[in-house]
Amino acid sequence: MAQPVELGSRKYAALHKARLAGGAFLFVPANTSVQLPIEIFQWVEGANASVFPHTLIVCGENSSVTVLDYFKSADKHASLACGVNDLHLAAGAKLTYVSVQDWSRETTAFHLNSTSVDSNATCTALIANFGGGFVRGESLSRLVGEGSRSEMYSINPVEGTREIDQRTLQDHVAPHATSDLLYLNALDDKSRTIFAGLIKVEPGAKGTDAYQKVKNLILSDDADPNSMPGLEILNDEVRCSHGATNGPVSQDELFYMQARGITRDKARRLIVNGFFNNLLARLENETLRAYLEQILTKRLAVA
Amino acid sequence: METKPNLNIDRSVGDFHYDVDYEFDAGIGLSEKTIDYICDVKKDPDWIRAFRKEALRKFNAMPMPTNWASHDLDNIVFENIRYYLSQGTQPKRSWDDVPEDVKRTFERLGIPEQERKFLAGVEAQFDSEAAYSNIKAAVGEQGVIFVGSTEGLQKHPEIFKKWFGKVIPTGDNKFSALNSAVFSGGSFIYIPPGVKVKHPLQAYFRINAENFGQFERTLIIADEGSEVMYMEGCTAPKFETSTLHSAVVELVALKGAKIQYITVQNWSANVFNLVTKRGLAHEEAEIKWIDCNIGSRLTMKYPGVIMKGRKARGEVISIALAGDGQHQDTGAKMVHAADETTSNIVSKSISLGSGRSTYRGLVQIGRHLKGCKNNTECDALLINTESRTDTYPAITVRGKENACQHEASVSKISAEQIFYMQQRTSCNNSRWNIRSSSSASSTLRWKARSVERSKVENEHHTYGKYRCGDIRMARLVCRGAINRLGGIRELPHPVPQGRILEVRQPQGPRPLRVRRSPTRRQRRPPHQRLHRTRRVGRKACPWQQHSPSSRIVATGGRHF
Repeated sequence: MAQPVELGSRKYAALHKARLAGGAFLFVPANTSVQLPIEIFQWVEGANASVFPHTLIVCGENSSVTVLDYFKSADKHASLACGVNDLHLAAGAKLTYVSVQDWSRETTAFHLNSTSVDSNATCTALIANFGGGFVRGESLSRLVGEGSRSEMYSINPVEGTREIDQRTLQDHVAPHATSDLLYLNALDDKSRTIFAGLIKVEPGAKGTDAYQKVKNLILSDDADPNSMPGLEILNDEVRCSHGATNGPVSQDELFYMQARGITRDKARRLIVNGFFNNLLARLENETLRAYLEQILTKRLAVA
Repeated sequence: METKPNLNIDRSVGDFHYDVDYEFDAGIGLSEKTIDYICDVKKDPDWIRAFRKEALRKFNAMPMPTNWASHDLDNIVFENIRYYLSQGTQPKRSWDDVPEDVKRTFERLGIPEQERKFLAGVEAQFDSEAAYSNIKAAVGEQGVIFVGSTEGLQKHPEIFKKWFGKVIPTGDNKFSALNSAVFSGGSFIYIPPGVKVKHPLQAYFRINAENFGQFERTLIIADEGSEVMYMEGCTAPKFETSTLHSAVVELVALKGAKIQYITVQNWSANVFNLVTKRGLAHEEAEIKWIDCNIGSRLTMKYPGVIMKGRKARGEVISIALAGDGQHQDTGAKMVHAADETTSNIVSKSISLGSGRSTYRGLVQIGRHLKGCKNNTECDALLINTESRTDTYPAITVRGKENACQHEASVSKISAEQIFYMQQRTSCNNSRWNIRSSSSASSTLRWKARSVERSKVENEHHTYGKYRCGDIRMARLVCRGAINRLGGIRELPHPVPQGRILEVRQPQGPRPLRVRRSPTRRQRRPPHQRLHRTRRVGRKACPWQQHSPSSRIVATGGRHF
């Protein structure tokens, strides 16, 4: 729990610390492989309620585990959530962490994620923001061991007047580490997304391979996607790239589906579903992938 | 082992200094008195005096932008700077009338010679005022106005006042406010409707004095359907103390007009170069910035285009080279404010030694616009371990009928690439001029070539309908400018064995003809000619398809 908070929400991190009452702590001993996924549910109920969930996962050397963390509202009331996730991976560990955030539409939420990956460990973190009125997410991934790998994924279907504000930092401290970030936003109505990411390569981190990409699928004229992908590179032996794309649903694809008797609205939802499925396809665990596809399908009401 | 490449850049060409007697000197420091002094010397109208004072107030009120920019800015001591130095406000029309002490500076930099060769007009600014300003009679007769900003203000107030300060408001940033308070020099250009100026107009900015601040103000208005190319070059001698250069450049392209603005900046390493440049493109107009930053201690410059009219186009091509102790903080701003506007940003930077290059970009497409497109590409190359590069793009694209993509990559030169080139060095060293003894150095020099080449190709690519002559012209002009500034020697030649044998006056639509000696390929009998096109060359480079930055390296492939 001693991770630095560097992405701006110091105040909310302090609030979380002050009000911290519950959460989950998971410790996987060295050389232990947990076959079945572990699910954590965090609920909020009642008007103007506030929750401060904390998830702390410590993976011992060469251990492996999959964790699903759910954030849900029991009703439609407005509430405040301010949660922190700390993921620690010792050498050779493997963690798949999926956060399924489904707060009510009135909820204001702050989610601060920090990950520390030691040598040859691999962390795959997927954050799915299905709910929340205003959500600020911060993800800091520190690659502290040689040969470590961090995958940071996020899927954000937003509509109405919802706003998702995401800040990320891929901090390459150790040499020969890899990080891969892919954030997908599909914006409908008057929704808004902000992505401000930074790849930071410290002077000692030679052989870094870092990638950062944000894709915005724009479904309405009033949607407001903002992308600020950044690079700060202080070492010459690196390969870093970043990309940001914005684009509408392809008219050709819509036409193709309409010609086959699918309504325009449904075709659009199918395309959005496919857009996100591209990311889910990167998950190794097939059961998990199928499960998440199912959640997504349900959420987008495609079926 | 780390080798620092010898980039073959001669920064010393501009590093000389002659003592000059100044007739007017506003003294050291900045206050309302300084402004009154400048206004009195320049015989400014009252509205300009008020404008300057308002700007000074804004400048004093605004904080240094160190919350996002380099803290090196804090090392500028505004109280120690001399804000106005001149030998008189009237520029001379003939080099013979230019005072000897000023003339020899420009002679040494080769300005009069370049003018005779291929320029339509030249303005040479020495510290605060233009020492020389002239355009060819034929161009003047078409109604083209090319004068200094002071003269523009006095003789053409009706055009000047209409556009002055309209593209870049005084309070745009702290340094535009400073410029607005003490501006002097720079160019005022007006191109009448339909006039296409075939040869470039050129301005040359020279800082001679120590502890000096140069604040030129340029305003270019291209009326409907006109075309103009403007080039500027900058040098200064190297002093122990820091020098400040803070220009404001405003371009206005009215319906269907085209403006190309080329900068080759080779300030000495004690100059803070903090420049605001922006263009306003009306319907179907096109504004293109070619920005080449080689010199200075800290450059902060983000040329922008506001595409206000339907189908307007904006382009920024930015090339930066950051050597030891330099920080090139450059980029581009593209604001789409009308339907079907397109913009393109290509940024290439090289950091070597302890140099740092930064790309900052802004792309904005407003909601309810249709068919807007932006493409941004930035590639950075790091040469040494202590080199640094940063990229900070900000992209806000609203509206579902717009598309935008941004890509950046950072790499060092891979062993594979060096090997690839070394292989070819042995059989074809005359063309590549690569010395195998110092592969890194040669690679870089070659890289510098391909950067320039790729720049031009990109133009070609983006504006397919451009005439070949235009592209060659741009190349020639860039190269000439860089050479003259003591920039990159043996600079990227468009033709492998190219030497410009003859520069002729224009005939027909082409602005310049360059005849070159036949290449080895052409000299061979037809059946022996190798028809290796660029495509083949590209295919021959296996890494080319993967990383964008490698692609530049591969663009040279066609000359194999």
